Formats: sequence, structure tokens, C-alpha cells
Amino acid sequence: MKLSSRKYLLGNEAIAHGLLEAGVSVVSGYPGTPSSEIIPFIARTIEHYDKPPHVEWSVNEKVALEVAAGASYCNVRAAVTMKHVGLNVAADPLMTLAYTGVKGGLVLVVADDPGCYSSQNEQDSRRYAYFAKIPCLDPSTPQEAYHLTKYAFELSEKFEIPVILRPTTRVSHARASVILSGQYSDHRPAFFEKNPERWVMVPAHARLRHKELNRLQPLLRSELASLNRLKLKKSELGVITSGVAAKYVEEAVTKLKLEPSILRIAAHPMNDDAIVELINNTRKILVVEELEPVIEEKVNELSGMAEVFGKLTGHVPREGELTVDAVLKAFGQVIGRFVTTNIPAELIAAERTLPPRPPVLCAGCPHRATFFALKKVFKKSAIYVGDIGCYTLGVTQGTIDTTLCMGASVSMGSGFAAACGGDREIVSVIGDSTFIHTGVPGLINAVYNGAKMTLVILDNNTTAMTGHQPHPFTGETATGSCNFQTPMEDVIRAVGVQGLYVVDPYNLSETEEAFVKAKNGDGVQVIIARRPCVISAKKAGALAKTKKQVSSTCKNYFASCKLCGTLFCPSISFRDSCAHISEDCIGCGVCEQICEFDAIKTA
Amino acid sequence: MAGDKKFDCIIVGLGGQGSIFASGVLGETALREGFEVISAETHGMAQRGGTVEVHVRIGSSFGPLIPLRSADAIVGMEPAECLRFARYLSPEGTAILNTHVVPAAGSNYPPVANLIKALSASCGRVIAYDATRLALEAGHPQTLNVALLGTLSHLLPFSTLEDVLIEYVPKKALEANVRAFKLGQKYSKRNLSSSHL
Repeated sequence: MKLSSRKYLLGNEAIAHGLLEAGVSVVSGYPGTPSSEIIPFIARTIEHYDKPPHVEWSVNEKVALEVAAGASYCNVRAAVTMKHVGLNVAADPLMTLAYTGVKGGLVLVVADDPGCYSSQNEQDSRRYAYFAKIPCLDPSTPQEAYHLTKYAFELSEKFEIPVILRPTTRVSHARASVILSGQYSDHRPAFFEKNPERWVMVPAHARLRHKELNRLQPLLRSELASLNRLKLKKSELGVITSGVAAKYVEEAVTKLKLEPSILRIAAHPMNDDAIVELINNTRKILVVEELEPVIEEKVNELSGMAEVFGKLTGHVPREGELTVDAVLKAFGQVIGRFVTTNIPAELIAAERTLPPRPPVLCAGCPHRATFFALKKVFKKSAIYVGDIGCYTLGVTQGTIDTTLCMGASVSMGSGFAAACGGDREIVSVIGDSTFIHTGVPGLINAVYNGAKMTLVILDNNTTAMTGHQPHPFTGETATGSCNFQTPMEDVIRAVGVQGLYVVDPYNLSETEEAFVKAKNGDGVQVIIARRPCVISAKKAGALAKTKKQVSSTCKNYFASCKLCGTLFCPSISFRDSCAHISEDCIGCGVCEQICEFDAIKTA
Repeated sequence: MAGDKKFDCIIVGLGGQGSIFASGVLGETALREGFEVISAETHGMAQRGGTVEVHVRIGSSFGPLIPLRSADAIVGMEPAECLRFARYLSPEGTAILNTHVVPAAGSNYPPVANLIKALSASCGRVIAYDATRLALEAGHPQTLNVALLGTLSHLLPFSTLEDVLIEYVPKKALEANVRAFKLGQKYSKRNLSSSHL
């Protein structure tokens, strides 16, 4: 038995502790900001446990949820981690898993990203909970996330239903003092009981299970009522809030010296009772929640005579992330006391002079070289169908024209080809991890349906953007073991592509040559541009020791050239009519290869 | 315990400058000395070289994000980045910044003196020095974050900051880090004497 302790933990680490203390037996997931730290944390700590859980990076979120579902059917506790958009991929198993229900507790940790800090949208996972008719717990701090993780398993087992734990960025990526109980539950015994009416969702069984799912709804609402916190005060103003927004409300009312009645809703489906009680004791209600007006819509249904303010009335911003300042402003508008924060004019003026620092590919990133060669061969007129990864930043080099969702580059590419392939070159661009996530079916589909297109796989041997997680093409697993390295070339050849080339993007002439062949080839042509991510290479001590420098001859051609500037390399800047290469150059040599005046040399 | 004293601090810099490391040492020290602590790390899509913004709230039971114009201090690893987040600093707050510029590719960089002037006009006091040079003097340019942490230490009543630092840094970089911490502390002794907490 371990003793309780107090630690400075990332929200995701607190969740990982909750999973381990709950005696979870199987943990799966696919990386996605802000959820990615849970699985590596567990993988790092399992050596300390006598009976460690099975922990894995799965190829995508659908697969991850199905792995967890299989384990849960066998009576053991299972968890799956993903970001909000990952739940779209896992939605297919989720919707029917709600019907079959689970045996061992099954918790989906789905991290939402208000403000799209690292996402293509800001959808609200609470909507999925209502869609699937399953519970959703909404923590406001790392400490609560830890407690709710453990509670989620009890809830899941009591009702035999999957449960969503929905932290947002400011919970998952907050670091805080967290008290851990150190009380570990044992793993549940694993056994599978055959029961076709329960586990085989043919229509006749599904109809019955749907009825059961509906029967649970009022029971879930009364069970979860205990997680709501209602503090009634003698005030005509009431506030209903949830998640991290509840903390912003606490701070705003302290600053404004207000004492409204406050209801905090930490779980869904919502129970009406506390909402009705608040409505009966107030005249004006402000609803403050991250992302969608899920609670506000419910309050509007029940509001009666009370006036409701929130996202639907424009008092709280409906897009982007909430802040204490946004909540202060909302209170100001509702109570008619205008709250302003004055930013000094000198500061505003100086802010306007600051250089922007848009996200850029690292110095020496192999993607930059691939994009340069791509643009040179396929020109501006080609349509570049992009995907999700660091390489989305290729938009600055003019080689990313679309970004929709994981794997879409390949399948959308064949759609572009079907629509206008005769007139335009179609080039799809995808990373290695994204390719195995959902790109492979698109490639099979493109070949099968006779698309004419080029697919470029930017193979940097990792899932770079989310923090360098391994995947089947790397061979390494979440725990660092290696069972089998999926051979990328064999997979691609097996699909029946008409041309396959493997190049080193640092070698521009070789890369361009392959692109030319692909351009002139038939059907689906695939180029694998293979070179490890520079961050991994740096960590492995595999970078060249030499840097590049610019000679003074650059000045002679400067006015008409600046070709190296089209690389958008953060190491290259221009001043005094000359290019300059800074200290962070890693010596990839791409600028040296493209300089037409031999002005760049090894330092 | 530390009662109801509180200290809100913004730590900003570019990826790789060690903002998250500095905030980790600060937060861990606060925790060990009995304070509640919560922080928020914001880093966008860029893996390296992009802006990293950390809010650290010591003695606070609120959320991790500091409201505008209310931070007790801002620590800037780079002058433009420091100014970019200076609107969080309270009118009485302290700005501690490295004056060593990291140029932004393809953009003009304003004179650092102008940035310091704007900071001075909008907060209580500004401690600006070339922390990169100090770090080089200490033995490694990477220790600029620790030098600035040394300067910040005067605003805090912590006695174990250096101990936590020693625990956190890799052994081979220990000496340079301890030197940088002491140099940063010494640099500011005449400028900062009283604790904020």
C-alpha cells in the first residue's frame, strides 16, 4: 500500500495516476494535442508495478476504442485516450458500444481544445455524450480530473456503460499541486461470458439494447446529480457553469465582489432539479461554459420567467477559448456595471511594432526540402491536397492547398482527380503516422477506382507534431519494445500502385528526378521522402556537426535573387543586402544546393 | 502553510529557451514550500522557435490563466516575446527580461530600447539585462532561463529554489546552471530586495 502524496502534475499526468490507481488493465489511444501525455506517462511507469496494464499506441482512435471495448467485454477495466476530433474517428464503435454496454469499466479520455491551439476545429465532446446517450464528466482542475477518472470506472461498472472524461486544454495542460491517495484497486479478473443478445448487435438484439439504454437515462441523471454543486445566495443573479470556466467564474465574482448563486455542473446527462432550484431563486442567469452552449440550451428549456444570458445572447463568446477577462466582461454586461481593463497606449503602440512569429518548420526539417522540390516540378498550377501534421505548415511554401482531417489527403486527392484531374496535376501530401492512421484505405480506394494522382509520403519516422510517438512503420511500441516493423513499401506495393520511389529529401536532384518520373507516370504514383525528423535526429546525436554560411558574393546578386528565402527556413534572414545563416542551422545543405551563385558553403 | 499570499507570474520565451523548465522549478518549489500552485503551458503548432507562454499562479485557488493587467511579474527570455505578453503585467508589477534579441525571419525588429521604454511606462519596474551573455559567463548559453530565475528569486520568499534547481538539471549541466542562478541573483540584488509574497 502506497501512502498519499502531493505532487506538481500535469493534468494528463493526474489522469494517468487516476487510471493506474483504478487498476486499469488495458490502455490504448492515438496521439492528439492536448491528450498525448497520458499514454507515455503510463508506459514510463509500468516497470514499477507487479501487474502492469497493457498500454499501446493504436493505429487510430477507432482501433484504440475497439481494443478497449474488447478488454472491457472481458470484465477488466480499460481506458482509451484521444483528442476531440479523434472521437469522430471512434464514433462508429462508440455509438453501438452504448447499446451493448460494457462489463469492466471503460473510460474514454477525450480532450477538447477550445481556441484550436493545435486542432482543425473546436467541437465539443459533450455533444457526443448526448448523441451516444452515455455519461460525460467535466473536470475543472487536474485534481478533479484525477478524482473523476477513478469515479468514471465506478460509474461505468455500476451502469455497464462507457463513460467520457472530457478535460479541456486548461485541465490537460495545466500543471498543479495534486493530492494522490495512493490507494490502488486490484485488476479485475478477466473472463468473457458468451451472451449473443448482449454482444451481437443484429437488429433484433439492438432494438432491445436501445430500450435498455433509454431506461438508464433517468437513472444516470439522478446518479450524477450528486456531482452538481449548488450554492444559493440571496441574490437575483445566478450563474451556471462547468469545467475550467467554473474557475474563471470564481475569480470574476471575487474581483467584482459579487455574491451570486452558483450552480456547477460537473456531469452529463444533466439533472433538472438543481437547475430548476436555481431558476426559482433568481431572476437573471448567466451561463458560462467552454465551447458549445450545451448547458445553456437546457437552462433555456427550463427557464420560465428568469432571463438567461450566455453564448446564445452574445454575452459570452461562442468561438475561441474563455478567459477570466471574457467572463468579467459578460458579468459587466449582465449587471450593467461596465468593467474595463486599460492597456496603456505606450504598450499597444509597441505591440504593433513586434515581429510576428508564425509557426514554422524547424531549421533542417526534411519536409521543407521535399516541398521545395515538389513546387519546382509540379509548379504552382498543381493542386496540393494536404493532411494533418507539422507539414500543414507547407502552406507558406505554396504546397498545401487543403487540410481537412486525418487521412483526407489521399481520398480527397482521388476526388480532385475525378473532378479535374485531366486539366490539373493532383498531388496529395501525407505524413507516415497519418498515412497508417487513415491514409491506407484511401490509397487502396484510389488505385481500385483508377485515379491519376501522385502521393507524397513525408516519412520522418515518427508522429512529430504531437511529441514524437512511435507507430507501426517505426516498429517501436508505446513501451519501447519492438514486435514487428510494418514494411511501408510492401504495404504500398501490395495495393497495386503504378510507381513507387523512395528518396532522401536532403538530396534535391534525386527527389526532383523522382517527382518528374511520377508526373509522367500513369495511375497512382507514390514517392516516399524519407529522412528522420530533425528533433529526433538531434536527440539521437545524428545531426551533421557542420553549419552553413553565406559568402559576401551574395551581395552581388541579392537584389534579384533571394531564392533561399523561398525555403522559409528560420535560420535564414536578410540584412545589409545579404543573406545570413544563424547559429541554429543544422547544416542540412538544402539552401547550398539551391543557391544559383554558389554563395552558400560549409562554415 | 502560506496563508492567503499569492503571486502570479508569466514566463515567456521561444521554444527551446527553457520557459517550461523555469516554470517547473518555480512551481515545484512553491509546492514544497506549502503553497497551492497551478500553471498553464501554451505552445502552438511550432515544435521549435515558436512562442511559449506559461502562466504560473502561486497561492491561488483559481484557474491557471492570469487575467490581463494583474500579474506580479513577467519573466521574458527574449525582449519582443516579453513585450508581447506584457499586457498581463499589473501596473505595479515587475518585468525581468533578457535583452538579447532572437531575430524573426523576414521581419523588422524594433529597437530594444523602445520596447523597454514601453514596458517602463506600463509597469512598476523593469530589470533588463543581457541574460544570454551572463549565461555564457556561467558556462552555457542555455542557462539564460536559470539566470532570469535567479533574478526573480528576490521577489519570492522561497529558501529552496536553488535546491530544487539542482535536483531538476541534468548532472553534466549542474555547475553552469548553479553559476547562472547565482549570477542572476547577484545582478539584481541592488534592484530588487523586498519579497512580493
